[in-house]
Amino acid sequence: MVSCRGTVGRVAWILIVLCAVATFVGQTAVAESAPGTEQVREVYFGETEEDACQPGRKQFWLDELRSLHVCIVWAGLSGTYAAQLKFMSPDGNVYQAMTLAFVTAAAPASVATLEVEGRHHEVKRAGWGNKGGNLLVAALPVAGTYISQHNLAGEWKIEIALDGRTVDQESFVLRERKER
Amino acid sequence: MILLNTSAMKNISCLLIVVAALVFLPSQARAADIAFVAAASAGAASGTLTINKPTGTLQNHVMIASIGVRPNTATITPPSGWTLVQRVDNANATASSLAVYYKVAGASEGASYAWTFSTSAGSAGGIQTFSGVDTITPIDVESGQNTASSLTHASPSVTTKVARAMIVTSYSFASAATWTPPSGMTEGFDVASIAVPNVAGQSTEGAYVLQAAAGATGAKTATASNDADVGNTHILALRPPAGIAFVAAASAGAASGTLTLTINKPTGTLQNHVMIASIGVRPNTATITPPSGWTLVQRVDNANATASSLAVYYKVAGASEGASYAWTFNTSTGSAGGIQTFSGVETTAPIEAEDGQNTASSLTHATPSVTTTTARTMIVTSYSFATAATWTPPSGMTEGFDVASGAIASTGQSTEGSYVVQTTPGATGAKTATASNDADVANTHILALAASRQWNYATAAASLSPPALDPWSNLVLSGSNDNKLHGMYDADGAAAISPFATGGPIQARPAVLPAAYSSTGLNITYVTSQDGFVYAINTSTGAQVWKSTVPGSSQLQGGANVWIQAFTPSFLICGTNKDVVFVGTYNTGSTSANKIYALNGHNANVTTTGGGNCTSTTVVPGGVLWTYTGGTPNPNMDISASTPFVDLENYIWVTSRSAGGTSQPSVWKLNASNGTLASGTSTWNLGDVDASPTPGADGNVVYVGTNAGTLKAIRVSDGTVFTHTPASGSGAIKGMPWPLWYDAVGSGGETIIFTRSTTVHSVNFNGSTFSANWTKTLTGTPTLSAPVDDGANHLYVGGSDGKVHQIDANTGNNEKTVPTTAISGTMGDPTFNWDQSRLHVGGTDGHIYTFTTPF
Repeated sequence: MVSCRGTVGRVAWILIVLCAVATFVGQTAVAESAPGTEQVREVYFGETEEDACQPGRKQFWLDELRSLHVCIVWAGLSGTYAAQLKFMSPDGNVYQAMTLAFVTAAAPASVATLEVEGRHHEVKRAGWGNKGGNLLVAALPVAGTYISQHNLAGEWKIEIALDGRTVDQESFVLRERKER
Repeated sequence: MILLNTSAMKNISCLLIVVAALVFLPSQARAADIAFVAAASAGAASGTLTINKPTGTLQNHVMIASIGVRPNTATITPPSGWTLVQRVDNANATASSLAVYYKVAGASEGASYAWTFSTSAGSAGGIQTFSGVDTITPIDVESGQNTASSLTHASPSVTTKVARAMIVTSYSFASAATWTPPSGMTEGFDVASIAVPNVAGQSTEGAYVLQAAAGATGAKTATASNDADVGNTHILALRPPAGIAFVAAASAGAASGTLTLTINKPTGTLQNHVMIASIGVRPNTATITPPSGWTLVQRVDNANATASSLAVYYKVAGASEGASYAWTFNTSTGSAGGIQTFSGVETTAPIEAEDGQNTASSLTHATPSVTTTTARTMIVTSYSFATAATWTPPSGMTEGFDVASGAIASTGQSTEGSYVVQTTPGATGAKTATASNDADVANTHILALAASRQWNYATAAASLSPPALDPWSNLVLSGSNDNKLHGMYDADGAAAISPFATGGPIQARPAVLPAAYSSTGLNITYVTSQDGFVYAINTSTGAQVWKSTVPGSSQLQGGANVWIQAFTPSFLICGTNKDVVFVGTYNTGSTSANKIYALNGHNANVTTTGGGNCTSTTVVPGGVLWTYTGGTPNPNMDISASTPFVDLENYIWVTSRSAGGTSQPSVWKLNASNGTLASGTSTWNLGDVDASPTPGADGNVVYVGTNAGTLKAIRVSDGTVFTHTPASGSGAIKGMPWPLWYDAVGSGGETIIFTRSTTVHSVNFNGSTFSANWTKTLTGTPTLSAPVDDGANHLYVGGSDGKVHQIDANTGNNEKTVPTTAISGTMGDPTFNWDQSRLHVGGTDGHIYTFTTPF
């Protein structure tokens, strides 16, 4: 069993398959917090999963980036949720949307999967953040993808939604080297 | 042996497409009519009315919802995405309302739709789904009305503007009843809010019928079973996808001795409309000089008594056209002509078929028959004879113009133009027009205008990979960052299968096999997803055939290469003789331990015999036949973002990154039979490579484009590497190096095209030496996609300027761009459709676009 313990500024153990222990599927989100009290406390970016939850970087060289790791620090959550991350490319179009089902670090796992828009998503356990925050890390592949193949450099935006309700928007910058 | 790698083996793909063109049916013969798909309905005694999505509703289908509610004062809130067509309120006793909505089905629709009301004493409604509707402007015409208390309720009559419209009617009244649809119409649904019969409640009826010709529908009357009451009715006409349409015509005549015939530009003629001019002149010996920009289709001369000529021309209207056009003659004893303008015509090759002939002295004059090969062509006929007469157009055709050189008389010249849409391909039959007076000899002509084949299809996220073609099913297949594989008919972009959902973005071109060549016996495609799995999907049904058992958490970025066992049945892979799928992994967490898999591509178990890296077991569909793993004892293997390629000697070529340096390999050569490294030179340290390996024309070299921007040619016989370092440009080589397998530049080698960040390059390779032909930066310096060519000296690349650029392969000059108005985003890697001379390309806006080539 892998520990899900951690803090902001340390390794974030998130999206760990082994933390999901429940057995039945097809349930909707089981949230114990009052609607409207959830919030995104911070959003961090990193080149690796290990450094994703460290504050500071928002700009990356496109040709050096293998994957962009996005760390979302949630506050006011307890239970099982579906987070939706919508990545908007610099031209304003929806590049990709991803759904991450997770159970907060302190909550008991009650379901193995969540059904969102007809598809079952494996519920993974969020990492521990400081001040009771929950850490959720997502990875956006970059190397060899549309992003590097088509030089989609510039300011990207991420819309973050929880159970279908948009709760935050952040941005990061992918920079292209003019000469190699 | 022959293999199919739709990303890397252009030659094989082309071969199969050619085979398809030769062996299989023409790909454009799909029925064009609007068709009813299904309906669903529901009633609610009070509160929200929830109606299921009709079964079989696919993207680009059009749904019509008819919602009846009482009382008439209720506010109605439709579900997201529905557009109100009209609400009809009947405020009389037992007041109620009927609201009609439409929605073009998107890529991802929910299972049901809910209408909410501020108050409801009963609601009943239904949704009818139709395919083949114009998704841009679905409704041609519509109207609604109140009806008096009765069991019979009539809709208004509307006059359709287009042929083959689908008439959809709705009826609702404040009783719970069943309905009988109008005579000649089919009931789509019939629903009540409470049990029938009941004087209370609400009931609603939906019906439809295809109306062949444009014109008045007449009132459509439906009949309720019980409890006469007041009601509301509505009628609308769904229009077929925008095809060719007549815009306007103009004509003129000129008397004997007048050597210029000037015809006004038809009113409403716009850029890219196609004008057809029919010019009649006597005598037949007159020379005819057309205005600038007009192309002669055919001139028909009748040298018999009262000799005359008919000359037919076309012109694609430009951005700036003059007010009129003048034809001049060296002699004339009378001329008469007209111009008919049409919209929605294929502008690069407008005329699909044409023919003309002399006709004997008569009042009736027939054209030849021509045979069309595509759907929805516009048949345009011309008639001219040496008499000033009026004309009656052929039966079933509409007269565009009818003009004489002067007053009706036995002298002079008169000309007739007419048109009709021919829905399905085939012989037009002769078209006979009739003159009013003074039988004479004549000339006739017929032509078929091809419908524009440009369309686009929406996915829900960026889609930049080159679409795949399935010419055996007339499909375009494209993955998208919305995690789905989309299949659309190549003729008009209508959804052909329900989008197939995977667990991650699909960023590589799917590999496609026809049933005739696949060991599965199915039309099948193999799709790689960033969720780490390969999916085998039946392209006829959209159903999953299998999902790979590996690699799972190691994502897949590059495409699949498919071994087609039918072409080389004697060659075995791990002792098996079924199709095999090769993929390389994209585990960004490792620069050393990525893998190459050979998967059972068949739809049944196979038994492997071991040896090399082969398993020795029973392997399920999508299971592993062999695995090559980077790292000790093998060289480290970084991520592979490309599609493998299998050469004529049964070796698999794979490219990968190399941890950012040259200390580990980035090009790999493995034995297809068992997954071991090939003997001799089997790896090359060329630095990071994301581009797919590409074979040369004769298979003697493999081209590799590096992320540093150099082009490598690896001689297969001994592994020697030849390098071309571009003198200018920056960035990695995109997609794959693109050899031109016709001699575009000259003898002495083959020409390879490649793109870097903002530059297009052409180089020659003669087996040992590269020489640069040209390097170009395109207008506006857009960032570029990988290139393709059309076999006719044109290259195509997508750009960050939202356009696709057509480039002269000989010079690199940017010839043209499409679309006229750039998309809001970046165009991706294009695919050339040899079967139909069209280009398919996706964009960051999520749309898949199709353009006719050359632009």
